[in-house]
Amino acid sequence: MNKQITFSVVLGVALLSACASLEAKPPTCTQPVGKWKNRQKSVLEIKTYDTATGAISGEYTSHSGASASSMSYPVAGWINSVPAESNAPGKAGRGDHAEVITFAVNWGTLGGISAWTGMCAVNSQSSGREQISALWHTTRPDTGFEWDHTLTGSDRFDPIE
Amino acid sequence: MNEQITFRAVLGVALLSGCVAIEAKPPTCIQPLGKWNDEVKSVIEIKTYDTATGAISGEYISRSGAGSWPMVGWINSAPAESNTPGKAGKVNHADVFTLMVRWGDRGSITAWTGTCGVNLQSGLAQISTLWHTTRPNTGFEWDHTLTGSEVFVPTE
Repeated sequence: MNKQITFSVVLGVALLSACASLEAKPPTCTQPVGKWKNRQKSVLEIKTYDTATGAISGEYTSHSGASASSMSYPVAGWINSVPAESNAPGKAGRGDHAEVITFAVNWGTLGGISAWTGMCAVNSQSSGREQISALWHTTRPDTGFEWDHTLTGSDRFDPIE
Repeated sequence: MNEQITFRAVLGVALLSGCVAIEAKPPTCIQPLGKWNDEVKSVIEIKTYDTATGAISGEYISRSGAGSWPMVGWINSAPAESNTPGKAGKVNHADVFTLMVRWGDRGSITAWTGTCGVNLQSGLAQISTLWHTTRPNTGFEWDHTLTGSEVFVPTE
């Protein structure tokens, strides 16, 4: 009986350490679970990634605009991670490969939705580190006119250490 | 006992008719469950809508019917914060949708974002969207993402 308790404790500590070490690693394009921040210091936290279906879910905490607060909003989306195409003889090689990602945030009582679509790859121009580059559309339910519901722009997200 | 069976049978038929009636109605901005066509007659079927969270799910079915891919998204039509004095009133309201599809082995993903409103000519709902599609393998670093616009209407 005592032995069993000891074993449970040891297992518990081992699991805890395993979790802690997972927690500490910054996310990557192929292991995206974790926190990513954009230039405005808004944080995308991917909490689940189902590699079988590609489904992702998590939370978004905004640090700019009307949504700036410590409040988080739910995220749903997809990642599609297929191998790079090999350069078959006689076929024009596809020179550039990336993991692709889409995710959307429901802004709850603020009204509106944002969807980001883009890719995750090493940013060869600056950091040399993995980065999510995405274009976004935000659509708002209540605006002054019929033609100004949708805003667009671009974002880059870096892994948080 | 017999009475109970009869009652159940009647209830069953009544529920069935109810479902058929719901099925037959074209989807609307407020009750979006059902099938929507895009301009090339592919189908987005919204199968679930959780009004508490705004989450929707379903599938995208290609025009030929040869393939279908899972879809998730959100609907959020919360009214804007009340107009504070001295602030210009917000006069135009729309129901807001986003739909995301993962194209399986093709390797790409697409997100449509836009508004749902009534087309004054047809009297039917339509979802007017802008989309981005990102592809994993392309010739260059700058040609992964495509964009365009698309209108979804209830399937006839």
